[in-house]
Amino acid sequence: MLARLRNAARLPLLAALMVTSAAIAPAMAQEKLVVFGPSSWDTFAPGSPEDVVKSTTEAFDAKFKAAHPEVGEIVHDSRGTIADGLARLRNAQLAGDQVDVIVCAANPVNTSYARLGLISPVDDIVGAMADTFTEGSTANFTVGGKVWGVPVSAVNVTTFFYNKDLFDQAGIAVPKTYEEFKAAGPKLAALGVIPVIHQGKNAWMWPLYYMSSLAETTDNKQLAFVQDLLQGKAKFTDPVSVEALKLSRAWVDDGLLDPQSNELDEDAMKAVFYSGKAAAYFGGSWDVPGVASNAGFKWGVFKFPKYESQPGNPVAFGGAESGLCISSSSKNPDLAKAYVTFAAQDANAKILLDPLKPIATSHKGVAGSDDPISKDLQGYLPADKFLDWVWPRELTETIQREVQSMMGGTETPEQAAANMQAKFDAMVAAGYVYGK
Amino acid sequence: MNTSATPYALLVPGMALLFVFMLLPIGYGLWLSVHDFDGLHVGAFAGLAHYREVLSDPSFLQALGHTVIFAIIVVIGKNVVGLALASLVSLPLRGSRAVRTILFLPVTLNIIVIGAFWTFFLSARRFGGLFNEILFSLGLGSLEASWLATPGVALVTVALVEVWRWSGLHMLIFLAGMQTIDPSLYDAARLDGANAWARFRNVTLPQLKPILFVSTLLALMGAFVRSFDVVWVLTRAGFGTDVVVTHLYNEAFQFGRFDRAAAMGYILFAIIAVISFVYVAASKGGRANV
Repeated sequence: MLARLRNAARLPLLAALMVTSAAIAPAMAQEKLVVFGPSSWDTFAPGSPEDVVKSTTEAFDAKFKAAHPEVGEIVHDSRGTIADGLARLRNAQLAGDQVDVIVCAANPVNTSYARLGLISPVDDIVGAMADTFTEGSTANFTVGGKVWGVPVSAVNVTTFFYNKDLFDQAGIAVPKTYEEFKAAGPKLAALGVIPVIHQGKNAWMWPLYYMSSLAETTDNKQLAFVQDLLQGKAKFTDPVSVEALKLSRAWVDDGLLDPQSNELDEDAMKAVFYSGKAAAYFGGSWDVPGVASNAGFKWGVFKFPKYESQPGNPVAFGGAESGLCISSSSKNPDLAKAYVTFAAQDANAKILLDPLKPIATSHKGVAGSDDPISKDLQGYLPADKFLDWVWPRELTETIQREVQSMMGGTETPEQAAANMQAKFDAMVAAGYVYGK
Repeated sequence: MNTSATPYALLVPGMALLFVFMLLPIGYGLWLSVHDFDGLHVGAFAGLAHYREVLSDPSFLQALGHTVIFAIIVVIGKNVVGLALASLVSLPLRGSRAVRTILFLPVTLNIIVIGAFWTFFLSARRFGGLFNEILFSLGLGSLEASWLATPGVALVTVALVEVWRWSGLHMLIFLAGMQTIDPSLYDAARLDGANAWARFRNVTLPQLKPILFVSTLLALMGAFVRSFDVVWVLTRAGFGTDVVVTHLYNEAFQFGRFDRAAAMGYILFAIIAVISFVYVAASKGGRANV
C-alpha cells in the first residue's frame, strides 16, 4: 500500500520532469557559432559606419538562423588594427577560444594564415559553387594549389581620394600625370592646404607608393620582377627598383606629400582630410563608404598618376580581397562550413555587399554599383595583385619600415634598397626558399 | 596536526600557485627555446641553435642597443625626477598634498589614453600639436620636430614619456623613505650650519640609499621588460624604437617563430640577471655603511 502510494507520488514528479526537459532541451541543444574578425576591418560591410555594419550583420545572421534553427547564437568579434590581426587570431586560437568562421582578408591568407595552419582548406565549398565567382576571385585565396577562403567581397582598388572643392578653389584639374600633379602642388599649398597626406604611422600603407611606382619602372612587369627577386634572379638594388624608390621619395621632395605624414595613423590622417586641411590622400576604394559619410565637401577619386619618364602605365592594385575562412581550431567545422556556404550564395552575398556600393564584386550574380564614383573606379579594372601578397611576411615588414624611413627623410632610396636586399639575403641564408 | 609541519602546510597553496604560474612556465619556456616551435607544434630538439641565430641577428642586436639606451634614460630619469619631486612635495607648503595627487595621476592613467594624449601633443603644428606650437610661439621654431617619427629622437621621446608616466610612483617611494628619516639628523645639520643643499646631500641622500637601491632596481627591470606598451602605443616600434620586447613580440606573433622569441626572452632574462647581480653586489658595501 505504502509502495503504491510512493509510486503514485512519483508520477506527477516524473511528468513535471519530462515537461521541463522538453521545454529546456531545444534551448540546450542550440549551437553557438563564433565569427572572428582579426581586425576591426574584418567585418561584414567593412569600412561602413558602425550602424550599417551592425544592421548588415544582424540581417544576415537572422536569415541564417531562420535557415538553421539549430543555431541559437552567433557571436561576432572583430577588433584591433590590421597590423595586430595575425597576433590576435593566433592568441585566440592558442588560448582555446571558440573561433569557427574567420572574416579573412586575402593578404594574410596568402602570407600567413594558410602557411601557419590557422585555417582549413575550402576547396569543396568553392568547387561546388565554381560558377558563382568572378574570374580571379578564388585565385586571390589560393595558396599552394588549395583554396583557403571563400570570396565574399567587394572588388577594391587603390586610388587617390581628393577634395573637389579645394581642387576647384585652386583651379586645378584631376592630374593624369605626376608632372601635372607636381605643378598643381604649389597652387594647393598657396591655399594653405597640404596637397597630399598619408597615414604614415601605419607602416603597411607605405609600400603602396613603391608598388605603384615599380609598376611603371618595370613596364608593368612588377609581379614578374618580384618573383624573380624572390628566386634570386633580381635584386632590390636593381635600377628599376631603386628608381621606383626615388620616384616615391620625390612625392615628398617635390612638395606634394607632407613630410610629417609619419606622425599620422589612419584616423588622424582622415581627420586632416575631412577637416579640409589636406587636398588628397592615397588609399583604396575600401574607404569609399567612410568618405561618403564623413566628408563634408564634394570629393572624387583618381588613379595613381603616370610618370612621364617611365615606360609603364599606372595600375591600381586590388581585387576581391575579403572572404570567409574556416578556423582550423573550430570544434564545429560543419556548422562553420554551412555558414560560409550560406554567405557565398548570391542572394545572401548581396545582403553583405550592397551596403558597400562596390565597384564590382566577387560574385557574378551580384552586380557592382552604378553611382558616379563606382563608375570612375570601374575604369581602373582589371586590378593588379598587391605585391605584399607575394613578399614573405618578414620581408614585407622590412620593406614597410624602409619605405617609411625613406619617406620620412632619414634614409636615401639607395640605402632603403640596400637594407631590403640585405634582409632578403639574410632570409635566404637562414633557409628561405621561394614557394616553400 | 604536527605543529612543526603546520608552517610548511600553510606554504603549500602559495608554493603550488608559484609552481604552476611561475616556475612551470619558466621551465617550459626554456624547453621551448631549445626546440623548434611555431606556436602550435613542437618540433625537433634544436639545442642552442635559436640562441646562436638570435645573437647573430643584426636586427635583434639593434633592438638590444635601443633597450639599453631606453633603460639608461628611464632608470636615471625616474630616479632623478622622482627624488626631485619627493623633495619638493615634502616641503611644508600649502597644497603639497594636492600636488602629490596630481603628480601621481599619470601612474593611474590607461596606456591607450597616454598614447593618444602624447601622440597628439607632440604632433606637428599643422596637425594641432601643442608642444611644437609652444616652441614656435616662444621663438624656438628651429627646435620643432617630429618627436615620435624621427629615428634617434623618437626613442628618447618615448623614454621621456615613460619617465613622466612612472615618476609619480618613484616620488611616493622616495617620500615614504624620507618620512622615516630621523628629524634630529636635520636639526643637528642645521646646528652645524648646513644649508638646504648640504642637508639634502649629507642627510637625505645617505639615509635614502636603501630606498634608492629598491627604486633603481624597480626602474631597471621595468625598463628592460615592461617597455612594450609605451613603445607600441606611441610608435608601434617604428622609427628606431624597436626594443627587445617589441622585437620578441613580432618574432612570435607576426612571424610565428616562437622558438626564437623564447630564446630572446631568456637572453633578456640573463642580461637583467647579470646587471641586477652586479648592481646588488656593488650596492652591498654602500648599504652596509648606512
